[in-house]
Amino acid sequence: MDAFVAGLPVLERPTRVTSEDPDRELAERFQSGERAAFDLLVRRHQKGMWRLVRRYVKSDADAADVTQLAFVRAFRGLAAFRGTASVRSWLYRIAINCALSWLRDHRREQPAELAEDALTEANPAPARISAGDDRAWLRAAIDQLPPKQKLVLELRVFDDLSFREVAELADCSENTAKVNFHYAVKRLRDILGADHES
Amino acid sequence: MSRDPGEPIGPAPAAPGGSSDELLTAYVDGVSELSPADRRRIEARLAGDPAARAEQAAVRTVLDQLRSSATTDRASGAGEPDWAAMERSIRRAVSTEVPRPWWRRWKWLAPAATFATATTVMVLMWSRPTTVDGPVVISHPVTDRTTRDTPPAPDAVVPLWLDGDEVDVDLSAGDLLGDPGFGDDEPERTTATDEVRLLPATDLAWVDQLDDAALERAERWLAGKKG
Repeated sequence: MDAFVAGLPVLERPTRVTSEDPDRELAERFQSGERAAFDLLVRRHQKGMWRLVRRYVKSDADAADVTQLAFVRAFRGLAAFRGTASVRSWLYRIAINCALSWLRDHRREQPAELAEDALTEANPAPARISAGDDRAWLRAAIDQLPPKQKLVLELRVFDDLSFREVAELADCSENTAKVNFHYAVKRLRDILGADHES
Repeated sequence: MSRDPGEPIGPAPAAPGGSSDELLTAYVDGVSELSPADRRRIEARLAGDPAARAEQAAVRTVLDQLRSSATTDRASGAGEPDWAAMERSIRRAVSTEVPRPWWRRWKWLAPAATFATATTVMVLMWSRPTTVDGPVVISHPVTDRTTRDTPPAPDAVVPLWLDGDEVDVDLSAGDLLGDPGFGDDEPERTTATDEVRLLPATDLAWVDQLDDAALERAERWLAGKKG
Protein backbone atom coordinates (compact mmCIF):
# COMPACT_ATOMS: atom_id res chain seq x y z
CA MET A 1 0.00 0.00 0.00
CA ASP A 2 2.85 2.35 0.80
CA ALA A 3 4.35 1.80 -2.59
CA PHE A 4 1.01 2.53 -4.12
CA VAL A 5 0.54 5.72 -2.12
CA ALA A 6 4.00 6.88 -3.08
CA GLY A 7 3.01 6.63 -6.72
CA LEU A 8 -0.22 8.57 -6.36
CA PRO A 9 -0.56 11.68 -8.48
CA VAL A 10 -1.78 13.67 -5.53
CA LEU A 11 -2.44 17.28 -6.50
CA GLU A 12 0.12 17.20 -9.23
CA ARG A 13 -1.28 20.30 -10.81
CA PRO A 14 -2.59 22.47 -7.99
CA THR A 15 -2.52 25.65 -10.05
CA ARG A 16 -5.55 24.71 -12.12
CA VAL A 17 -8.54 26.54 -10.73
CA THR A 18 -11.70 24.52 -10.83
CA SER A 19 -14.07 25.99 -8.28
CA GLU A 20 -13.48 29.72 -8.57
CA ASP A 21 -13.08 31.75 -11.70
CA PRO A 22 -10.11 34.10 -11.43
CA ASP A 23 -11.50 36.21 -14.29
CA ARG A 24 -14.90 36.77 -12.77
CA GLU A 25 -13.78 39.84 -10.89
CA LEU A 26 -12.46 41.43 -14.08
CA ALA A 27 -15.71 40.69 -15.87
CA GLU A 28 -17.69 42.30 -13.07
CA ARG A 29 -15.44 45.33 -13.04
CA PHE A 30 -15.94 45.69 -16.79
CA GLN A 31 -19.69 45.35 -16.40
CA SER A 32 -19.67 48.10 -13.82
CA GLY A 33 -18.03 50.40 -16.35
CA GLU A 34 -14.29 49.88 -15.87
CA ARG A 35 -13.00 49.73 -19.41
CA ALA A 36 -9.44 48.86 -18.35
CA ALA A 37 -10.59 45.53 -16.95
CA PHE A 38 -11.04 44.30 -20.50
CA ASP A 39 -7.42 45.13 -21.33
CA LEU A 40 -6.36 42.89 -18.47
CA LEU A 41 -8.51 40.08 -19.83
CA VAL A 42 -6.89 40.52 -23.23
CA ARG A 43 -3.43 40.41 -21.72
CA ARG A 44 -4.30 37.31 -19.74
CA HIS A 45 -5.91 35.29 -22.53
CA GLN A 46 -4.58 36.44 -25.86
CA LYS A 47 -1.86 33.81 -26.00
CA GLY A 48 -4.20 30.97 -25.13
CA MET A 49 -6.82 32.15 -27.58
CA TRP A 50 -4.26 32.56 -30.33
CA ARG A 51 -2.93 29.03 -29.77
CA LEU A 52 -6.48 27.67 -29.81
CA VAL A 53 -7.34 29.54 -33.01
CA ARG A 54 -4.04 28.52 -34.55
CA ARG A 55 -5.12 24.88 -34.44
CA TYR A 56 -8.01 25.77 -36.72
CA VAL A 57 -6.46 28.47 -38.88
CA LYS A 58 -3.28 27.28 -40.46
CA SER A 59 -1.57 30.62 -40.66
CA ASP A 60 -0.01 32.58 -37.82
CA ALA A 61 -1.13 35.94 -39.16
CA ASP A 62 -4.67 34.75 -39.84
CA ALA A 63 -4.82 33.30 -36.35
CA ALA A 64 -3.86 36.72 -34.98
CA ASP A 65 -6.62 38.38 -37.02
CA VAL A 66 -9.20 35.86 -35.85
CA THR A 67 -8.06 36.26 -32.24
CA GLN A 68 -8.46 40.01 -32.50
CA LEU A 69 -11.92 39.60 -33.98
CA ALA A 70 -12.83 37.26 -31.14
CA PHE A 71 -11.78 39.85 -28.59
CA VAL A 72 -13.79 42.55 -30.33
CA ARG A 73 -16.85 40.31 -30.15
CA ALA A 74 -16.10 39.53 -26.54
CA PHE A 75 -15.90 43.25 -25.78
CA ARG A 76 -19.38 43.74 -27.20
CA GLY A 77 -20.81 40.76 -25.37
CA LEU A 78 -19.07 40.89 -22.03
CA ALA A 79 -21.53 43.40 -20.59
CA ALA A 80 -24.25 40.77 -20.98
CA PHE A 81 -22.11 37.88 -19.74
CA ARG A 82 -24.11 36.16 -17.01
CA GLY A 83 -21.44 33.95 -15.58
CA THR A 84 -22.99 30.56 -16.26
CA ALA A 85 -19.59 29.43 -17.59
CA SER A 86 -16.09 30.54 -16.71
CA VAL A 87 -14.91 33.68 -18.46
CA ARG A 88 -12.08 31.74 -20.05
CA SER A 89 -14.29 29.07 -21.56
CA TRP A 90 -16.69 31.82 -22.69
CA LEU A 91 -13.81 33.60 -24.45
CA TYR A 92 -12.56 30.35 -25.95
CA ARG A 93 -16.03 29.58 -27.23
CA ILE A 94 -16.10 32.92 -29.01
CA ALA A 95 -12.65 32.21 -30.42
CA ILE A 96 -13.73 28.82 -31.74
CA ASN A 97 -16.86 30.32 -33.31
CA CYS A 98 -14.79 33.05 -34.96
CA ALA A 99 -12.31 30.47 -36.23
CA LEU A 100 -15.06 28.30 -37.71
CA SER A 101 -16.65 31.35 -39.27
CA TRP A 102 -13.31 32.39 -40.73
CA LEU A 103 -12.82 28.89 -42.15
CA ARG A 104 -16.23 29.04 -43.79
CA ASP A 105 -15.42 32.40 -45.35
CA HIS A 106 -12.02 31.22 -46.57
CA ARG A 107 -12.88 27.68 -47.49
CA ARG A 108 -11.61 28.05 -51.03
CA GLU A 109 -8.32 29.47 -49.87
CA GLN A 110 -7.68 26.58 -47.49
CA PRO A 111 -6.15 23.30 -48.60
CA ALA A 112 -8.71 20.52 -48.64
CA GLU A 113 -7.54 18.93 -45.42
CA LEU A 114 -7.50 22.28 -43.63
CA ALA A 115 -11.11 23.18 -44.14
CA GLU A 116 -13.67 23.55 -41.38
CA ASP A 117 -13.27 20.00 -40.19
CA ALA A 118 -9.56 20.39 -39.73
CA LEU A 119 -9.75 20.15 -35.98
CA THR A 120 -12.43 17.58 -35.55
CA GLU A 121 -11.78 14.99 -38.21
CA ALA A 122 -9.02 12.55 -38.75
CA ASN A 123 -6.48 14.66 -40.48
CA PRO A 124 -2.92 13.48 -40.50
CA ALA A 125 -0.57 16.17 -41.64
CA PRO A 126 2.14 14.43 -43.68
CA ALA A 127 4.12 17.61 -44.18
CA ARG A 128 4.53 17.95 -40.48
CA ILE A 129 5.53 14.43 -39.66
CA SER A 130 8.05 14.26 -42.47
CA ALA A 131 10.50 16.06 -40.22
CA GLY A 132 10.39 13.00 -38.02
CA ASP A 133 10.47 14.80 -34.73
CA ASP A 134 8.50 13.48 -31.80
CA ARG A 135 6.11 16.39 -31.63
CA ALA A 136 5.02 16.07 -35.20
CA TRP A 137 4.61 12.35 -34.73
CA LEU A 138 2.47 12.94 -31.67
CA ARG A 139 0.49 15.58 -33.53
CA ALA A 140 -0.23 13.15 -36.32
CA ALA A 141 -1.42 10.59 -33.81
CA ILE A 142 -3.76 13.12 -32.20
CA ASP A 143 -5.17 13.95 -35.61
CA GLN A 144 -6.30 10.36 -35.95
CA LEU A 145 -8.56 10.54 -32.91
CA PRO A 146 -12.35 10.75 -33.28
CA PRO A 147 -13.51 14.39 -33.32
CA LYS A 148 -14.89 14.64 -29.83
CA GLN A 149 -12.00 12.81 -28.20
CA LYS A 150 -9.54 14.95 -30.07
CA LEU A 151 -11.29 18.13 -29.02
CA VAL A 152 -11.38 17.11 -25.37
CA LEU A 153 -7.75 16.00 -25.39
CA GLU A 154 -6.50 19.19 -27.01
CA LEU A 155 -8.49 21.48 -24.77
CA ARG A 156 -7.25 19.61 -21.76
CA VAL A 157 -3.58 19.16 -22.70
CA PHE A 158 -2.74 22.06 -25.02
CA ASP A 159 -5.08 24.70 -23.61
CA ASP A 160 -4.69 23.51 -20.04
CA LEU A 161 -8.40 23.80 -19.26
CA SER A 162 -10.11 22.19 -16.31
CA PHE A 163 -12.50 19.33 -17.04
CA ARG A 164 -15.35 21.66 -16.23
CA GLU A 165 -14.21 24.16 -18.85
CA VAL A 166 -13.58 21.39 -21.34
CA ALA A 167 -17.13 20.20 -20.76
CA GLU A 168 -18.49 23.71 -21.30
CA LEU A 169 -16.71 23.98 -24.63
CA ALA A 170 -17.48 20.45 -25.77
CA ASP A 171 -21.17 20.69 -24.88
CA CYS A 172 -21.14 17.74 -22.52
CA SER A 173 -21.08 16.96 -18.84
CA GLU A 174 -17.90 17.05 -16.84
CA ASN A 175 -17.92 13.29 -16.40
CA THR A 176 -18.43 12.78 -20.09
CA ALA A 177 -15.41 14.99 -20.72
CA LYS A 178 -13.37 12.83 -18.34
CA VAL A 179 -14.53 9.66 -20.04
CA ASN A 180 -13.72 11.09 -23.47
CA PHE A 181 -10.32 12.08 -22.21
CA HIS A 182 -9.74 8.54 -21.01
CA TYR A 183 -10.63 7.03 -24.38
CA ALA A 184 -8.56 9.63 -26.21
CA VAL A 185 -5.46 8.78 -24.21
CA LYS A 186 -6.15 5.07 -24.52
CA ARG A 187 -6.52 5.33 -28.27
CA LEU A 188 -3.46 7.51 -28.53
CA ARG A 189 -1.51 4.83 -26.71
CA ASP A 190 -2.71 2.29 -29.19
CA ILE A 191 -1.79 4.48 -32.15
CA LEU A 192 1.62 5.34 -30.77
CA GLY A 193 2.24 1.72 -29.78
CA ALA A 194 1.31 0.51 -33.25
CA ASP A 195 3.53 3.13 -34.83
CA HIS A 196 6.41 2.08 -32.62
CA GLU A 197 5.92 -1.54 -33.54
CA SER A 198 5.77 -0.77 -37.24
CA MET B 1 -17.82 23.62 -30.54
CA SER B 2 -19.42 20.31 -31.37
CA ARG B 3 -21.76 20.51 -34.29
CA ASP B 4 -23.63 17.44 -33.14
CA PRO B 5 -24.08 17.27 -29.37
CA GLY B 6 -25.81 13.94 -29.68
CA GLU B 7 -22.87 12.38 -31.42
CA PRO B 8 -21.49 9.22 -29.78
CA ILE B 9 -18.55 10.24 -27.67
CA GLY B 10 -16.37 7.21 -27.66
CA PRO B 11 -15.96 3.63 -28.58
CA ALA B 12 -17.76 2.44 -25.47
CA PRO B 13 -20.77 4.05 -23.84
CA ALA B 14 -19.93 5.49 -20.47
CA ALA B 15 -21.70 4.77 -17.24
CA PRO B 16 -23.51 7.79 -15.81
CA GLY B 17 -20.67 8.70 -13.56
CA GLY B 18 -17.96 6.88 -15.47
CA SER B 19 -16.49 3.55 -14.41
CA SER B 20 -13.30 3.48 -12.41
CA ASP B 21 -11.51 2.46 -15.63
CA GLU B 22 -12.91 5.39 -17.52
CA LEU B 23 -12.08 7.86 -14.78
CA LEU B 24 -8.57 6.54 -14.25
CA THR B 25 -7.03 8.90 -16.79
CA ALA B 26 -8.75 11.90 -15.24
CA TYR B 27 -7.48 10.68 -11.88
CA VAL B 28 -3.92 10.55 -13.15
CA ASP B 29 -4.15 13.94 -14.86
CA GLY B 30 -5.97 15.87 -12.17
CA VAL B 31 -6.95 14.05 -9.05
CA SER B 32 -8.33 17.22 -7.50
CA GLU B 33 -10.99 17.42 -10.19
CA LEU B 34 -12.59 14.14 -9.20
CA SER B 35 -15.33 13.90 -6.64
CA PRO B 36 -14.32 12.35 -3.32
CA ALA B 37 -16.47 9.30 -4.10
CA ASP B 38 -14.84 8.75 -7.51
CA ARG B 39 -11.42 9.28 -6.00
CA ARG B 40 -12.03 6.68 -3.28
CA ARG B 41 -13.38 4.25 -5.85
CA ILE B 42 -10.31 4.54 -8.06
CA GLU B 43 -7.88 4.43 -5.16
CA ALA B 44 -9.52 1.26 -3.90
CA ARG B 45 -9.20 -0.21 -7.36
CA LEU B 46 -5.55 0.78 -7.65
CA ALA B 47 -4.78 -0.57 -4.20
CA GLY B 48 -6.08 -4.01 -5.00
CA ASP B 49 -5.39 -4.42 -8.71
CA PRO B 50 -1.84 -4.58 -10.12
CA ALA B 51 -3.21 -4.34 -13.68
CA ALA B 52 -4.84 -1.04 -12.80
CA ARG B 53 -1.56 0.26 -11.44
CA ALA B 54 0.17 -0.76 -14.68
CA GLU B 55 -2.54 1.04 -16.60
CA GLN B 56 -1.99 4.07 -14.41
CA ALA B 57 1.73 4.07 -15.23
CA ALA B 58 1.06 3.73 -18.96
CA VAL B 59 -1.42 6.60 -18.89
CA ARG B 60 1.06 8.73 -17.01
CA THR B 61 3.69 8.08 -19.69
CA VAL B 62 1.44 9.19 -22.51
CA LEU B 63 0.25 12.25 -20.61
CA ASP B 64 3.82 13.23 -19.83
CA GLN B 65 4.64 12.99 -23.53
CA LEU B 66 1.63 15.13 -24.43
CA ARG B 67 2.36 17.75 -21.84
CA SER B 68 5.98 17.86 -22.76
CA SER B 69 4.98 18.48 -26.36
CA ALA B 70 2.57 21.23 -25.35
CA THR B 71 5.17 22.87 -23.15
CA THR B 72 7.74 22.77 -25.92
CA ASP B 73 5.26 24.32 -28.34
CA ARG B 74 4.56 27.14 -25.95
CA ALA B 75 8.19 27.69 -25.08
CA SER B 76 9.26 27.87 -28.68
CA GLY B 77 6.87 30.70 -29.38
CA ALA B 78 7.24 29.96 -33.05
CA GLY B 79 5.02 32.11 -35.20
CA GLU B 80 3.54 33.97 -32.26
CA PRO B 81 2.49 37.52 -32.97
CA ASP B 82 3.75 40.59 -31.17
CA TRP B 83 1.48 40.46 -28.13
CA ALA B 84 1.85 44.11 -27.23
CA ALA B 85 0.95 45.07 -30.78
CA MET B 86 -2.07 42.81 -30.64
CA GLU B 87 -3.19 44.42 -27.40
CA ARG B 88 -2.92 47.86 -28.94
CA SER B 89 -4.74 46.70 -32.03
CA ILE B 90 -7.60 45.28 -30.00
CA ARG B 91 -7.79 48.44 -27.89
CA ARG B 92 -8.08 50.52 -31.05
CA ALA B 93 -10.70 48.21 -32.53
CA VAL B 94 -13.09 48.45 -29.60
CA SER B 95 -14.96 51.38 -28.19
CA THR B 96 -13.51 53.53 -25.46
CA GLU B 97 -16.72 53.15 -23.53
CA VAL B 98 -18.07 49.99 -22.01
CA PRO B 99 -21.07 48.84 -24.03
CA ARG B 100 -24.21 48.14 -22.09
CA PRO B 101 -26.73 45.42 -22.86
CA TRP B 102 -30.13 46.65 -24.03
CA TRP B 103 -31.84 45.72 -20.79
CA ARG B 104 -29.36 47.85 -18.89
CA ARG B 105 -29.73 50.73 -21.33
CA TRP B 106 -33.46 50.76 -20.59
CA LYS B 107 -33.11 50.18 -16.88
CA TRP B 108 -34.08 53.78 -16.17
CA LEU B 109 -37.47 53.09 -17.72
CA ALA B 110 -38.90 51.26 -14.70
CA PRO B 111 -38.46 54.07 -12.14
CA ALA B 112 -39.46 56.66 -14.75
CA ALA B 113 -42.67 54.78 -15.54
CA THR B 114 -43.40 54.38 -11.84
CA PHE B 115 -42.88 58.08 -11.24
CA ALA B 116 -45.05 59.04 -14.21
CA THR B 117 -47.84 56.73 -13.05
CA ALA B 118 -47.70 58.05 -9.51
CA THR B 119 -47.73 61.63 -10.75
CA THR B 120 -50.72 60.96 -12.98
CA VAL B 121 -52.66 59.34 -10.16
CA MET B 122 -51.91 62.22 -7.82
CA VAL B 123 -52.95 64.84 -10.40
CA LEU B 124 -56.20 63.00 -11.05
CA MET B 125 -56.95 62.74 -7.34
CA TRP B 126 -56.30 66.42 -6.73
CA SER B 127 -58.32 67.56 -9.72
CA ARG B 128 -61.51 65.93 -8.29
CA PRO B 129 -62.66 68.26 -5.47
CA THR B 130 -64.03 66.68 -2.35
CA THR B 131 -64.82 70.04 -0.75
CA VAL B 132 -65.63 73.23 -2.58
CA ASP B 133 -65.21 76.74 -1.35
CA GLY B 134 -68.25 78.87 -1.94
CA PRO B 135 -71.57 77.30 -2.82
CA VAL B 136 -72.41 74.18 -0.92
CA VAL B 137 -72.98 71.19 -3.15
CA ILE B 138 -75.55 68.67 -2.12
CA SER B 139 -75.95 65.56 -4.05
CA HIS B 140 -79.44 64.31 -4.71
CA PRO B 141 -79.43 60.94 -6.37
CA VAL B 142 -82.18 60.49 -8.89
CA THR B 143 -83.31 57.34 -7.13
CA ASP B 144 -84.08 59.35 -4.01
CA ARG B 145 -86.32 61.61 -5.96
CA THR B 146 -88.23 58.76 -7.46
CA THR B 147 -88.75 57.13 -4.09
CA ARG B 148 -89.98 60.40 -2.69
CA ASP B 149 -92.34 60.60 -5.65
CA THR B 150 -91.41 64.17 -6.36
CA PRO B 151 -90.42 65.58 -9.71
CA PRO B 152 -86.71 66.00 -10.27
CA ALA B 153 -85.44 69.38 -9.29
CA PRO B 154 -84.96 71.71 -12.21
CA ASP B 155 -81.57 72.99 -12.97
CA ALA B 156 -82.03 76.42 -11.46
CA VAL B 157 -84.74 75.67 -8.93
CA VAL B 158 -83.59 75.55 -5.36
CA PRO B 159 -85.52 74.66 -2.29
CA LEU B 160 -85.60 77.35 0.37
CA TRP B 161 -86.96 76.95 3.81
CA LEU B 162 -89.06 80.00 4.37
CA ASP B 163 -91.57 80.65 7.08
CA GLY B 164 -91.75 77.03 8.13
CA ASP B 165 -92.29 75.66 4.64
CA GLU B 166 -90.05 74.43 1.86
CA VAL B 167 -90.31 76.65 -1.17
CA ASP B 168 -88.75 76.09 -4.55
CA VAL B 169 -87.14 79.20 -5.95
CA ASP B 170 -86.28 79.52 -9.61
CA LEU B 171 -82.81 81.08 -9.76
CA SER B 172 -82.71 81.09 -13.52
CA ALA B 173 -85.33 83.78 -13.53
CA GLY B 174 -82.56 86.33 -12.98
CA ASP B 175 -83.36 88.96 -10.44
CA LEU B 176 -86.16 87.32 -8.51
CA LEU B 177 -87.48 90.47 -7.09
CA GLY B 178 -87.21 92.30 -10.36
CA ASP B 179 -88.71 89.46 -12.34
CA PRO B 180 -92.10 90.43 -13.63
CA GLY B 181 -93.19 86.86 -13.29
CA PHE B 182 -92.19 86.71 -9.66
CA GLY B 183 -95.18 85.57 -7.75
CA ASP B 184 -96.92 84.20 -10.80
CA ASP B 185 -97.83 80.57 -10.77
CA GLU B 186 -95.70 79.57 -13.66
CA PRO B 187 -95.23 75.86 -14.19
CA GLU B 188 -91.97 74.72 -12.74
CA ARG B 189 -89.27 73.66 -15.15
CA THR B 190 -88.25 70.16 -14.41
CA THR B 191 -84.86 69.62 -15.92
CA ALA B 192 -83.32 66.47 -14.53
CA THR B 193 -80.13 66.97 -12.60
CA ASP B 194 -78.19 65.29 -9.90
CA GLU B 195 -77.09 68.38 -8.14
CA VAL B 196 -78.98 71.31 -6.83
CA ARG B 197 -77.17 74.37 -5.72
CA LEU B 198 -78.26 76.16 -2.60
CA LEU B 199 -77.67 79.80 -2.11
CA PRO B 200 -74.66 80.25 0.04
CA ALA B 201 -75.24 81.78 3.42
CA THR B 202 -73.13 84.77 2.53
CA ASP B 203 -75.36 85.53 -0.43
CA LEU B 204 -78.38 85.97 1.80
CA ALA B 205 -77.21 89.45 2.71
CA TRP B 206 -79.37 90.76 -0.10
CA VAL B 207 -82.41 89.98 2.06
CA ASP B 208 -81.40 92.73 4.44
CA GLN B 209 -81.16 95.15 1.57
CA LEU B 210 -84.72 94.66 0.40
CA ASP B 211 -86.98 97.66 0.63
CA ASP B 212 -90.49 97.51 2.02
CA ALA B 213 -92.12 97.22 -1.38
CA ALA B 214 -90.03 94.27 -2.32
CA LEU B 215 -90.70 92.57 0.98
CA GLU B 216 -94.37 93.16 0.52
CA ARG B 217 -94.27 91.62 -2.93
CA ALA B 218 -92.38 88.66 -1.56
CA GLU B 219 -94.86 88.10 1.20
CA ARG B 220 -97.67 88.23 -1.31
CA TRP B 221 -95.87 85.72 -3.46
CA LEU B 222 -95.37 83.46 -0.48
CA ALA B 223 -98.95 83.75 0.51
CA GLY B 224 -99.89 82.79 -3.01
CA LYS B 225 -97.61 79.79 -2.81
CA LYS B 226 -99.08 78.69 0.48
CA GLY B 227 -102.60 79.27 -0.66
